[in-house]
Amino acid sequence: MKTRLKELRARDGLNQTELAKRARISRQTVSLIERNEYMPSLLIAVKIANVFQEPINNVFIFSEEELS
Amino acid sequence: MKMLIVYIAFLLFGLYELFASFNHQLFEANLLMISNLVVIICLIFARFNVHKAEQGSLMKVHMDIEDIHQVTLERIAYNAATYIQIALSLSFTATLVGFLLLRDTQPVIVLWSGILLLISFVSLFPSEKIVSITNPNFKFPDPQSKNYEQEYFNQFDDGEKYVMLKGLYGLYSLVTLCLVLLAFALMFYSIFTDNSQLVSIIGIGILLLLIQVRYTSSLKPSKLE
Repeated sequence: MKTRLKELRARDGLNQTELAKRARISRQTVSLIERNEYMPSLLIAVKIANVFQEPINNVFIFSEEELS
Repeated sequence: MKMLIVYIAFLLFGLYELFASFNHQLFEANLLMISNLVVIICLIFARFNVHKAEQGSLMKVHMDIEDIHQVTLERIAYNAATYIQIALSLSFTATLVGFLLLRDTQPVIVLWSGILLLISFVSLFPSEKIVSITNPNFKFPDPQSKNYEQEYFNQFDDGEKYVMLKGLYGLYSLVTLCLVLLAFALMFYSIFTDNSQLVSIIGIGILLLLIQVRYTSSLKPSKLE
């Protein structure tokens, strides 16, 4: 799974701490997701996507292999 | 800051006592005093790190370096927690060993170990400022709540729980391995020294049994209704 977290944060001018505050999750979780060390739960994915006002699949991108 | 000064005063007094009586007291008493001094040094480092983190949290930094600043503060806060854990484990061991060996000859040193154990235990409870650094959304549940542990656990989000799980799984494997090795070491010690460690080996066996059964039963799926 690839994430566009860094790119979207840069677009909206948010750092990890600010994104975490807005999504009401921890900064550690944002950092783990960005480093591809943790696949977020549905709830966290929705919270993050809501902050960027994007559909989930625009923020978290799965490869064809992962979905087949 | 006041506590830091109190700890430094304790350290200086302890050092003076150690050097003043080093040649007149038992080897075990000297070792216990050194252990107490190490505990005080750990508490000083912990307090210093807490102070540093609290001061750092008051600083206003530019948004570009806010993440780096935040990570630094979190690392400092966790360093403080590590020093407190070291102090707690050391003072716990020192109190038990001291009570066993020195309660009649040097009770004051054992008392100091006990006091340091108490201080280390109290230091375990983090200040609100530190919690606001490491877990800004964390709210302590009502201490009188019947589901306190569950409510406390629920304060962590899934990412934090994942990190905790990874750490705890590593810890589970390490503890199991260490207990097995310790049991073997005690068995050989008993054979070669004629100093039976049977009770310790049985204790370790019971502990291993409890750990394994508890862990395995937590993995067992719940009954379907």
